[in-house]
Amino acid sequence: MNRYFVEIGNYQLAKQGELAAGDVFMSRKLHDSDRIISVLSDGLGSGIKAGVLATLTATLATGCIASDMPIRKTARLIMKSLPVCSERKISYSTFTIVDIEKGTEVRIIEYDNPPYLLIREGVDLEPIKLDIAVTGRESIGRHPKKPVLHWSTFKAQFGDRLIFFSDGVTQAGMGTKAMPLGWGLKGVRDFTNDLIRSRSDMSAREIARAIVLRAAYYDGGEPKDDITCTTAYFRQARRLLLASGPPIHPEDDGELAAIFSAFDGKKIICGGTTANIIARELKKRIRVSLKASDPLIPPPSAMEGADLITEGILTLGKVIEYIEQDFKPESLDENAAAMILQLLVDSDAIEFLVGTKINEAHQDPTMPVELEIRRNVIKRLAALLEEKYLKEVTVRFI
Amino acid sequence: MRKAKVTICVGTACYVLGGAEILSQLEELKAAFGDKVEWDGAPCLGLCKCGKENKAPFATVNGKVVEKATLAALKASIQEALAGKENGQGK
Repeated sequence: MNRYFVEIGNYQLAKQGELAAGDVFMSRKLHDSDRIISVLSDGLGSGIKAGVLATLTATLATGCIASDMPIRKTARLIMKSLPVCSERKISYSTFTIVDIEKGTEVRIIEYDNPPYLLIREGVDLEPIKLDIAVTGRESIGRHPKKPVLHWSTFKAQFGDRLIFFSDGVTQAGMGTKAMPLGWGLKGVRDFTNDLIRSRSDMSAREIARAIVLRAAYYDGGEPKDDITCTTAYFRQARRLLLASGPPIHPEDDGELAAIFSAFDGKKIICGGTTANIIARELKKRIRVSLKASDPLIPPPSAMEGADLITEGILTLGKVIEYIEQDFKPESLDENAAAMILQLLVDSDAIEFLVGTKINEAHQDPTMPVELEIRRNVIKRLAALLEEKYLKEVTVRFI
Repeated sequence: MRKAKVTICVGTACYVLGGAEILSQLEELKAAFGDKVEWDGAPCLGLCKCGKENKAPFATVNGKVVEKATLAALKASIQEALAGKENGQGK
């Protein structure tokens, strides 16, 4: 793979006391046109009302840009569609739209969010921005001021990091003695540059998280506004292989083990029989942990040459559940499913190597739980990883 | 001193049919037998696929298979092994 992988990482904290965030981040991968469209929107106010405004904005923006609608028309449509706040009598929501084509061509439209940062080889770049006025105040609804969009474009290079955030980041700490005017764009810029200089391999998600947590710290640990940050990181893909299931023909056991052994990247085996086959073929020993950390998830095992070995179907089902319920890996208990999720999240290109032999013991009607067919479980997991985490996923059957 | 080696299967079928309970109470068993027992786990002993009736969870004590391995059954098998009664030996 010669092209860059684009890792999109987002992190958010809601305003203290609010159940829902008024900042919304959305990202969509369009396979047909090889594009990733990401939108960060900050709705007027906070809580549910702001969340509705921002969700509307992000959904409309993603849809319009995906269907190549002109920028002005998109902006006008968004502003016309937003409901009017009953208190402030205005409709308003900021946005930053990032459209990345073929992993390199980047187009950005900004409206009233803090300007994005583009860091290349430790240097801050400031691409030229074109101001686009959305004309005709009446035609764009009850808007507080004449809207001006900033449009910019650049060709991404290997190692670039594009960072954009809501004003909850730049305004963090505002009103405090230490920083009466808030953290400010310069403060965020300096912090981010130092962060990347100190750890050049930081993932997109780690950067977004570090910036949000620092902003929350300046707010005294109680966010005064929603704090959201997103990073796009252009880099070589971190590869991961997940092997699960014995081959349908036992004579292919050797091939399964050979593919596993030769793979360059992180490696997981899900399934006891699969682990036994690979260990036997590679003449390795498996060491099983007997710590019962979770009554539903069997404990993980270890083997030289594998990053993780787990049970198969129960554990993979739990991973799916975690992803569907938007659990953050770091907030989970230490069990084998959480360990898989952490490895998946930390990878970009994920390859599933799936043995299609059906485990007859699992189809026993006396089983207290219904065990799904492996192939279906993997298909669901693959789709979720593509949709929710924008991973590059391939599934290969053996 | 006689010793026993116990291997507990942590495969899917064994775990859902009672293996999880054995692991949750393993510390008690470990304390009861001390260093007379060496504990090990297996990703899958492959025994759930044999025979008409699934007799999981499985464990082995000195290589001898324990079917439907409840905590009590396992304890009894270990005691037998330590007394030298497994595999028809010890008398």
